[in-house]
Amino acid sequence: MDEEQWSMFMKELRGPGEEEEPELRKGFSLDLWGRLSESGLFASLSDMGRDGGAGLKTAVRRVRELGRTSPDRGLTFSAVTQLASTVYCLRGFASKELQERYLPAAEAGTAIGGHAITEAAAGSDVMNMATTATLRGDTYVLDGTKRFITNAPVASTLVVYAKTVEDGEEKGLSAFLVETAWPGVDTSRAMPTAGLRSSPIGEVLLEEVEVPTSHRIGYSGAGLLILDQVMKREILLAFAGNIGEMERLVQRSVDHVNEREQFGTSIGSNQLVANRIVESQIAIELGGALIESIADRIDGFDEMTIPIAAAKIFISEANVASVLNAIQVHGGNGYLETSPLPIDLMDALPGAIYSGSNDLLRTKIATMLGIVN
Amino acid sequence: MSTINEVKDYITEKFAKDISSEDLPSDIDLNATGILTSVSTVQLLGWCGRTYRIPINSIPIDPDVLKTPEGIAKFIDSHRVGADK
Ligand SMILES: Cc1cc2nc3c(=O)[nH]c(=O)nc-3n(C[C@H](O)[C@H](O)[C@H](O)COP(=O)(O)OP(=O)(O)OC[C@H]3O[C@@H](n4cnc5c(N)ncnc54)[C@H](O)[C@@H]3O)c2cc1C
Repeated sequence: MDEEQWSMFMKELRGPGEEEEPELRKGFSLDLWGRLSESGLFASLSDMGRDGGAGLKTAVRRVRELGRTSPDRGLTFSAVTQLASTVYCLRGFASKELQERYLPAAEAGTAIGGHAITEAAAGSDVMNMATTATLRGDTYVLDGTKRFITNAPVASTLVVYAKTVEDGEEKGLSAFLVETAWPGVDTSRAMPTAGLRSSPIGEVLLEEVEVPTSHRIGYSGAGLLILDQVMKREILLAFAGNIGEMERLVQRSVDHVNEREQFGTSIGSNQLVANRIVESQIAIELGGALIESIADRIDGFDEMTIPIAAAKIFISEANVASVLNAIQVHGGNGYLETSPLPIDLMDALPGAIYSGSNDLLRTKIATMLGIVN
Repeated sequence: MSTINEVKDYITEKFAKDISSEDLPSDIDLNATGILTSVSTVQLLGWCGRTYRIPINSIPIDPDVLKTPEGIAKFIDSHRVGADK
């Protein structure tokens, strides 16, 4: 792992000034993705190991730093998707053959990846998905339509989750590595979003897609178990990124309240103003500590569903609150189109929706606690 | 106590309170009977991890082995710390 390359990229990113930010965040930048790839981020999990998890901790630290340094929250989100959906999934569950064929390009960032779970009638209710993988000889035939798939418009591979039928028997969900250039795969329909605009999202149409059995990831029917682990890593990484983004906001707000004067003194000297920033810092400390503790424990012997759900809910909601606080302390200037803060708000909002909506995760915690519903 | 009996005790105590552990067949399909759902499977795996020191978040798991008490016992015995893999 090359820390020097990583540090150089971070230094480079500290470049553009505030006024350039909204421009930078209008769409996906292949150039920026290329430079991020060269920094070695996607290879961070290479010493993941079965028991140590050193790679995961490195990735968590780097994504937090990326969130703190990069004004482009969409880039961070797309990078997290690449790491969790593809790099982690292949490393954790794929055959040696699949790993050898697809990991080098995924870790170099030259092949962009994503994962396709959500469908029109299967959002929170994942098990209601209609996409099927039917075994015919030594190929699975995939049929279905996925929506809201991060990176799909620019991806060369996708991990597709589908209901598996083998010899007429339903086996549950399985995961498949699918190349987007294969016949029957269409990723051309983008779904423009209100925020995270530099992270492309789109539909994935699968029509009679022939997938060799060797492209199934893990056991047949293990899709839900795999997805559970992938989502745990996605949450850990995405919300480490959110902590970094909150740190960035705090720094921006501190600078502003020290500079801006009203009533003959800096506005920060008013404790009501200062407190808005302090609240964000408290959330950074708590959320950051929780993320680190989970990264330390995840490869151990404890079930991590409740701590991970708690971290996701806490950080995503604190992230939105901290953008609102930042807008408030910036006054009218924070609401201008030229300000990056309204974009930050639209970027922060979906944190309560993706990787399992917060309401659903609250329900899950209640069920895990044994509360009968 | 043998692993299979511990598994049956856990399942009947947590998810099938109206059955005694002696009456739970070793080969009962826990999914088909609705005893195990996606959430209770997560809870069961959590218990396996804690009790037998199995790194449940870092090993590929075949869902077929979690279908029956005897499959779960075999899974535990092959992954618990110190087991020959
Ligand atoms: C930015 C972004 C990126 C995404 N990236 C991906 C991706 O890469 N791959 C992918 O497959 N999907 C992706 N998604 C989709 C995402 O996973 C879904 O949006 C999410 O699962 C919710 O599904 P839904 O939008 O259909 O909402 P619904 O399931 O329709 O839910 C709507 C609301 O109802 C609530 N609700 C529904 N059922 C319950 C219940 N039982 N208890 C309590 N509350 C409930 C939900 O919490 C939610 O607030 C992405 C979404 C966004 C916004």
